[in-house]
This record gives sequence, structure tokens and C-alpha cells, in this order.
Amino acid sequence: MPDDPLISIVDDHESAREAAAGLVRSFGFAAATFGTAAGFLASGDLARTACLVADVRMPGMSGPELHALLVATGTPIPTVLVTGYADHAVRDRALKAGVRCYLTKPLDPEDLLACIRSCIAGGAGRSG
Amino acid sequence: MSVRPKVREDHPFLLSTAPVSRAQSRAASGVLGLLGAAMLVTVPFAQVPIDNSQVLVPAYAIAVFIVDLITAALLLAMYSVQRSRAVLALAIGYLFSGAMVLPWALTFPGVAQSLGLPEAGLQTTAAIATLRRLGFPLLVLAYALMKETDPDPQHALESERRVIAGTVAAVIAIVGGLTWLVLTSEDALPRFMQDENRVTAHWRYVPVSAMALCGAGLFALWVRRRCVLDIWLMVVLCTLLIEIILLAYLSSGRLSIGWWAGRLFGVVSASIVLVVLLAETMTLYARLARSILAERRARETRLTALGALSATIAHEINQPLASMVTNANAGLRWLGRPDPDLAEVRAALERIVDDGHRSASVIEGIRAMFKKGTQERVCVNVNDLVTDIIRRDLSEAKLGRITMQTDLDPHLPAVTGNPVQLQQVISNLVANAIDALSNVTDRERLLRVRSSQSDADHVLVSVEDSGTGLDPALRERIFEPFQTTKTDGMGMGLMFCRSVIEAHGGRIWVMDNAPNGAIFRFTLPSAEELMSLTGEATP
Repeated sequence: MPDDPLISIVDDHESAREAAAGLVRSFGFAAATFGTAAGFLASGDLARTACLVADVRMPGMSGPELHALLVATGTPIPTVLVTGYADHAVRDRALKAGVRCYLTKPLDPEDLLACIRSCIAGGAGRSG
Repeated sequence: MSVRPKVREDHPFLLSTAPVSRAQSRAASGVLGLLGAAMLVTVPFAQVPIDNSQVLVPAYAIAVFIVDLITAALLLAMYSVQRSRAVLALAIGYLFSGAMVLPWALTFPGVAQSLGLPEAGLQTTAAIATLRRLGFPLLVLAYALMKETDPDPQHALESERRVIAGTVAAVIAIVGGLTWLVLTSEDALPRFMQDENRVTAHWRYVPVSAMALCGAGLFALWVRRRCVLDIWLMVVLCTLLIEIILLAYLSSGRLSIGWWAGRLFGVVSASIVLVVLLAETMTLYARLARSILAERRARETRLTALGALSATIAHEINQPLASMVTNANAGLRWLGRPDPDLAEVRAALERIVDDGHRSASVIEGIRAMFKKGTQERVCVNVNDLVTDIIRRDLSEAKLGRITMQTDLDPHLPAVTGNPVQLQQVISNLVANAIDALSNVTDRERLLRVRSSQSDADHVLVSVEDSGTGLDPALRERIFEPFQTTKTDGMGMGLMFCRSVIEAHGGRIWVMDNAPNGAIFRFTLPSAEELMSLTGEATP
């Protein structure tokens, strides 16, 4: 399905990113998984990625940092942050910085689907 | 002889129950020596008069009045805690002495005039002085004698506030009544004064009686000599004796240098108990502050450790749980499609199985972590553990006036075990001993930790105290959980001790100490013994 929008998933926990990828595929999207932010940045999938699903806490570059870097380098990708630890301060800061959604694990399928759809519909230009 | 001395409510840190330490006795003797020397220095000048120095009499009176009143207030506070009638008697003594100094000063020749009051009769001041001088040592004597008897149980039931209010009112009434009596019956008063400054032959009975009362008080206190307060009251009575000697025999009557020196001794005498009470209060306060701090630190450490542990566990378990939910949702969605993709469903289910195993291994890891903690065995020098604990508890023991001694075998073989747990065991036993000693008032508070080699391959550690000892009925069950003799105890300490010692291949027991107290003993196999045992067990 080469024309399907690509959803890139970045999470340091293998079980978590494989689970997310499985759910994303069940929505009918293509999913690519990465263990680190650096691995995602080094891949050739940046330009194809319609929506980035990144874990908040990761060793090395965190999800919010990855989003900020993409915005700073002029290649923003609509981003959904996911986390095991809900934190209002992190959430507010991330949403203010233009992150599309902030979801807590375990992921609610309907929420995630709505967020991804919003990413695809809004496109790269929207950030707010 | 199963009858035990009845232990009164324990207030081990009150001046009136704290046993006398050697340092306190030395300090008291030092103060007494200094005061005696000061008296000798004044002897050559004692007869020199200081004219018109009666203007200083009100200042002196105010000083004594305030010091006596503060002392009385502190003693009444002590009474309200301890409900000892002896302490109440002493408080009355200070209250009486302080209150009587006011009419004494106001009737002093020349003072009333300068204050614009009517001049009192010639004999008035001396009569009031006599009452005051005899009343105080009489009440100290009452204190010393009353201590022998147990507090009246009926009395203990009364509200202490009512007793204190009644006492203060009664003393004020008595002082007022006596003053009124003296003022209105000038003619009936004994003729102590021949003029404003010189006494008659009648006066000589007064210092003799006062000295006799002081002597009796000193004797009674010396015989009892149970607590710190007794020692300092002996100093007070000695100072009073010096004051009387200066006033009655060395000076040349009122307003001479000897007379004023005597008055200064009076102020010193009044201040001694106050200073000691304040010093003890500060010590008590410091101790309280320190124990609150230690308690708070311990609680914080516990909470931090517990918080960190639960956060770790929560995270480690939550991660696979969240993945399982997500995988299950994905599987449901694949099944719900018009053409279910069974390969994807299978993949999701397999990931759930993996996550389940991952959770189980996390839990197993946590269990192993705790197991590892308790089974970690290293070579331990028991003497070092004991020395550490004694050093740590030294200030606590000093405040409780407990003498700590160690008798450690320098050739003690090492044991194999968990140093943290073994230290906890010794620490628990020492803390128990300190608690047991806090009730002791009539003998030395002694805590001794010994270590020795009980036989070729066992180390023996004893923690001995001269405390109240153990009830034989309780001794059987003392190592069982929830058995405690302490009001604030959980009864877990000794159970913990036994489980640790037994896990180390040792034994713990308790026995009576002679003549008082208890001995807790435990053995541990020495390192060589344990190695040979495990060597034999391995085929």
C-alpha cells in the first residue's frame, strides 16, 4: 500500500512500539517503527511520514525534543505524543509547542485514530 | 520474692527523678567550693559599714522576689507533670520565700520613708526576716522527708491545676496574714533589734534555729540523695548556711559589707535551682528537637525508598500491561473488519503472550532483588558493629544519664552474614536496654555490651542492662510478634532479631541480670564454622 499515509512510531520499548504499530495498521495505515529519535531522523522516512507518534520519555532525545527539532529545522511533522506517565505540565507545554495530541498509555484506539486523522487532514502546515 | 518495687510514672528526664551523675556531683562540689572561698574573702572586710546603702534593699528584694517566683513556677510545672507532693512542698518554699521578701523590704528602716509609706515599727523587719529564714529550710526539709513516701493515690486524682491554684492562693494568703499580724502587733513581737542596725541578745536564737533547720535538711537530703535536684538543694542549703554565718556572726549588723555579702549569697542561693532547672530544660529541649529530627529523617528515608520502589514496580509492570491492552485492541479491530486478517490477529495475540511473560519476569526480578538483599553474606566483624552502634547512641545515653560500657574480645573470630541486618539486631537490643533503663532512679543506669567466643566455633554477644528486668510470664513470649512492654512499641523488634539471628544459624535468648535488669544474648557461628558446614553439605 505505497499510497497509504505513513505513520512513524518512535518508542524505546519494543513491545510498546510493536503494539502501537499493530493498532495503527489495523486502522488501515502503514506503520514504520524506530527505537530512538536518532534512528528516525537518520531514516529516509521523514518526508513520507504523515504523522509522528513519539514516546515522551526516551533515552537520548525525548519525544518533545524530537518535535521541537523538527519544527526548528523547518520540517515539521504533525506529532502525537504518548506516555505512561500523565503529566499536566508536560502536556500543556507540548500542546503549546504545536504537538497535535498528548495521549496516555494504554492507548485508546478511538483517540489515537482521531489524532492520526487530524494529523493527516491538517497536514504539515498546521501547527497549533 | 516476686514483688517488684513499684515504678512510678516514668519521667526519666525530669530533674526530680534523674539519677545523680558523677559530673553533676562534681559540678555541685565545685560551686560549693567557690562559694566557700568567696565567703572567706569577705571575712576581713565584713565589719565595715556601708552607710545609707538601704537604698539598694528594694533592688535586692526585687531580684530575690523574681528569681524565687520563676523557680516556684518551674517547680509547679514539674509538679503538674510528676505530681510529687515533695516537689509541691519545695515550690511552696520558693513561693513563700519570694513573697515574704516584699514585706521585708518595704518595712526595712529607711525604705518605706523613701517610698512615701508610713514607717513600720523597729521590730517588724526582723520578725518578717525570721519567718522567712525559718520557713524556707523547713519546706526543703519537708521536701526531703516527703520523698520517702509514695504519692497519695487520692491526691493524684485531683486536678493538678486546682491544686496549683489552691497552693498559690494559700501561700499568698499566709504571707499576707503573717505580714498583717506582724504589722498590727508590734508590741507583742520579740525584741530582736536594739536600734535600726544592731540586734539584741534575743536575735541569737534565730540564726541558730535556721542553721539547725538547714543542717537537718542537709542531712535528710544526704541520706536520700536520689536525684539531681537533691544534690543542688544541698548546695542551696549550704549557701544559706554561709549567708546566715555572714549575716549573724561575721558582719557588724545591717548594711555592713558582711551583711551585704550575705545578701548576695542569698541571691545566689535563690538562683541555683533556677539555673539548674533552666539548664536541664535546655538539655531536654535539645534532646526533643534531635529526636524529632531523627524521626522525621527516618520517615522521609522510608517514604523515599518506598516511593522509589513502588514507582519502579509500577513502571515495569505498567509498560507490558499497556502494550497488552493496545495489542488486544488491535486484534479486535482486525477481527472486526469485513475480511478479518487472521495473520495480524495471531501477531497481536503473540505479542500479548510475550508481554505476559515479560510482566511475570519483572515480578520475578523484583522478588529476586529482595531475596538477594537478604541472602548477601559477607565477612562481618561483630566488634566493629558494636562499636559503631555504641558511638551512635552515646549522646542519647549521656542524656539519659546511662553509663555505656563495652567488653569486646579483641580476638573475636569474624562471622559470615548480612552486616546491615546484624547491625539492626544489635541496635534494637541496645535501644531496648536504653528504654529499660529510663525507669531506673535508685541505682546506676548501666548498659554493657560484651562479645566473646562462646566455644570453638561460635561468637557470643550479650547486651546487659541494670533496668527493671523482665516479667517471667512475658519472657516466654518476648520474641513473638506483637509482644511488647512499651506503650509505643509494635512488638516487632525482638521478633525481627530472632528471625535474623536464626537465619544466620545462631540462637537468641534472654536471662535475668544480677542484681537487676536483663541480659539479651545471641550466638552466631564463626565464619570458619559456617564454611566447614557448607563444605560438608556439598557432596
